[in-house]
Amino acid sequence: MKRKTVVRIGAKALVFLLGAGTVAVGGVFLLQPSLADSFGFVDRLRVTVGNDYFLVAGIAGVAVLFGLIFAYQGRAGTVRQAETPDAEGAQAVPAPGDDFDELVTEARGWRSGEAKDEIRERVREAGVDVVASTRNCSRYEAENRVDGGGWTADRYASSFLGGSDAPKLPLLTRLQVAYGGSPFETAVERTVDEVYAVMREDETVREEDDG
Amino acid sequence: MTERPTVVSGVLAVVAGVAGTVAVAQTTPLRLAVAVAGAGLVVFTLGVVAARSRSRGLGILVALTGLAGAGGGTAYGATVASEQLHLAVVAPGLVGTFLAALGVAPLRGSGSRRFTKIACWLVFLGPVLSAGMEYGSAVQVLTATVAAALVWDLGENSVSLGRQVGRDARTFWNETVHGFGALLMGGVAAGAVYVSQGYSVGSSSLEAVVFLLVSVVLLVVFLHR
Amino acid sequence: MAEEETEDETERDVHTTRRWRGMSALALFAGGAGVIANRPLILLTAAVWVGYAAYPRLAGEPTVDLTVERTVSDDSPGHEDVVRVETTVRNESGFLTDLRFVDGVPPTLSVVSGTPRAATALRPGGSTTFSYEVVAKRGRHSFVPATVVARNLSGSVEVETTAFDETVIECAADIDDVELRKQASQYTGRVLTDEGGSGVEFHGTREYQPGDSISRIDWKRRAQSGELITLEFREERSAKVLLVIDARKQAYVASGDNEPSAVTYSVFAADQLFESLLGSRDSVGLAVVGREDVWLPPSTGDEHRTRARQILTKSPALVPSPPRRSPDEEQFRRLRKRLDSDTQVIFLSPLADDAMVEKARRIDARGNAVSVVSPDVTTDGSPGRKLAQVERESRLSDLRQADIPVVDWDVELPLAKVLAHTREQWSR
Repeated sequence: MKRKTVVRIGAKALVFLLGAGTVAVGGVFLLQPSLADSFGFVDRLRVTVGNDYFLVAGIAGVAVLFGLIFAYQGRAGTVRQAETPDAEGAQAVPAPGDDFDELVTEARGWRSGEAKDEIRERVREAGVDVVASTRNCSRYEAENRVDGGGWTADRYASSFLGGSDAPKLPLLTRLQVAYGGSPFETAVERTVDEVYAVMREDETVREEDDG
Repeated sequence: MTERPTVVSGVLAVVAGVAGTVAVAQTTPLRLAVAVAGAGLVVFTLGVVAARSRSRGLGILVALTGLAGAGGGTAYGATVASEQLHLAVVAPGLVGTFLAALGVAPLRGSGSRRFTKIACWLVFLGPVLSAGMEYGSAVQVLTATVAAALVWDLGENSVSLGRQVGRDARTFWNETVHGFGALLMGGVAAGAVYVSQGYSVGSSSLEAVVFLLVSVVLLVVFLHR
Repeated sequence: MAEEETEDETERDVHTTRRWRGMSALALFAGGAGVIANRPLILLTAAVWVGYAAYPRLAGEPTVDLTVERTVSDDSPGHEDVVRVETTVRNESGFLTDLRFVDGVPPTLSVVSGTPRAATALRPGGSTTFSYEVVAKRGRHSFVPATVVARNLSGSVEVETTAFDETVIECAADIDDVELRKQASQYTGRVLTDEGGSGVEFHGTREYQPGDSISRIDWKRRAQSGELITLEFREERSAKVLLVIDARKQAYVASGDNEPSAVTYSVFAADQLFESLLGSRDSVGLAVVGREDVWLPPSTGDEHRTRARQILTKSPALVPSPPRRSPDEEQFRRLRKRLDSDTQVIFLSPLADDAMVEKARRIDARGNAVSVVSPDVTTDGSPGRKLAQVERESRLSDLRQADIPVVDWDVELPLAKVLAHTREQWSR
């Protein structure tokens, strides 16, 4: 590892020394053209290439080729800089229930039977709990009520959570709820709203009793 | 955080583009035309900056005025140019400056290094073409070259600061010191070149040209990283 | 002191920005074009570009030695108060040509005006000051290390490091709060000594009789109605209490984008309870279930208090970002093993899932008196969020049905007030 670094620095240094040397020689030639005439190397090269323009154009071609490579390596996209943290906002975390909303979004697709079942199960669970606590009945009784749909006047809600006896939506709507994306979402939304309303209603009553 | 290029460096990058282009404009009327177009681009930059902060309506108005100025200046330049080639020398610079403006005063997003880089390259073409046609003096060509470098340096610093600390943060001294460094560097290099070319006598020999070109390649290979 | 030393050993990341890379290409193009067109002046412009290719190498990596000082307009503000933070950065090393600074705003708070960022150049000994405002939320909020990015003059080398200044915004006490907290602490301490595992239970009040200790007088009632009422507690005996903070992934929930998570509130509540219990000479312990296992067995004394503080402020298990996963089953098993049979347990959890209810009931059934303090961070606006409220409500009632006392803490209200209110309800 260490040796490698030494070699690389060596190569770089060599390139630099050569560069500096050629600058010096070129500078001298520029200022004292007479000196250049006594330097035969370039002349011999010119003879080999055949024409002084070819010789110069050849070197220029190499320069442009390097230029293209460096231009590619130095394109704007390669610039790096430190990322600064988001100091302004509080660390973002989800709100309680956002996972459920995500699940509902997931259930939009065609093949989403499992997601839909899971959603229905979760809403039903909450619905039974609320019915049990607000109607002061056992869970078993609450389940029966939810199955029968008697806990709510909302047909979407009763049909969404209920069994075969529950008040139903028209057949077409039911099919849409079962297989469609947005009708299903509507049903979820209305059912949750209904469960929420039943809970809230009970809370208000209790608070009034308290006060 | 308003993740947008900072204003001081951004505007200075556009100014550098204008200066580089004006420097290689051949005749006085053309120089005036390019200066008007360039001033229009600076106004455009300021307008876009304002439009994306508090004063949207006013900003859009200012930006459009600037754009009109840039268009007017360009059109005027086209009519006063005595030769098509004079236009060809300043055209890349003007396009480049416009790109630099879009890079540091983006219509949306957080600024573009790519635009800034292309802008630098286009402004770079000005002095090359000017010297190629043997239009410009050494001072004009070297000034435009340094200006091209500043377009990139200032523009990139503006984008970089915008992403790291945002436009709302205080950045004045950072931008000033940074810009001064790049200007000083260019000044020293261009000054050295100017002084050394003053010593050369007559047409340079083939040997000198070959050695200088080879030295450029070698040094650049050494410096590249 | 040892702590500070480790703080000094900040990480440094040095890298090149490559922002000058393209310049060498321009040098070569200019050189090539100059020679092909036979124009020495173009060739000479190449020398300028060589200069810019050399520029990034003229200065190496900058040395960064900064001190940060912060003043906050109010280090113990009320909930939702706006606090002004003024940060001064001083350069203790050589000339810093390019400094970019992002202050370490507590991750649990959000900036409402100004910006916690600055970029400048600093001469040796020079300093820069900037300020911004944050909104305080209930809890203890520590500043984290500030991000420092320094560059050399050409911007070719970038040093990334941090700078730290211990600053805390503790949003706990308004006048009302302090008074209540005192009562609450007495209350909590004494009541938890009650044997039999019924948990938090308030004994009662009676009219003041000469000879009663003044500390037992309900001063709040006194202030409101002028009555002299003495608080009565169960027999005073010191208790062993364990506070268990729920910091599992599921507990990292908040009521909004810029709101602290339930864990922040739980940590705050734990801090308050720890203090008050220790103040009433109970022996208190601390456990965290989450990213990693944290266990501080119940004890007393100042050293113990310091250790608890360390955990509450610095433990990796309680940082503001959620763990990817947490081995809670394993942790609960270990917790049950470590728990003495005479230790009471107070769970601090948002009750965002069923797990905590089940654990609380199991530990309660084992004979350890369990109570739960639950910060409420539920919100509404979507079916999921409403459902989460409903579900949490059922969890609360499940716990109450199992005779586990629950403090349902609306985080908009001071904890002490909520504790006092709960006490009144339970005492009926």
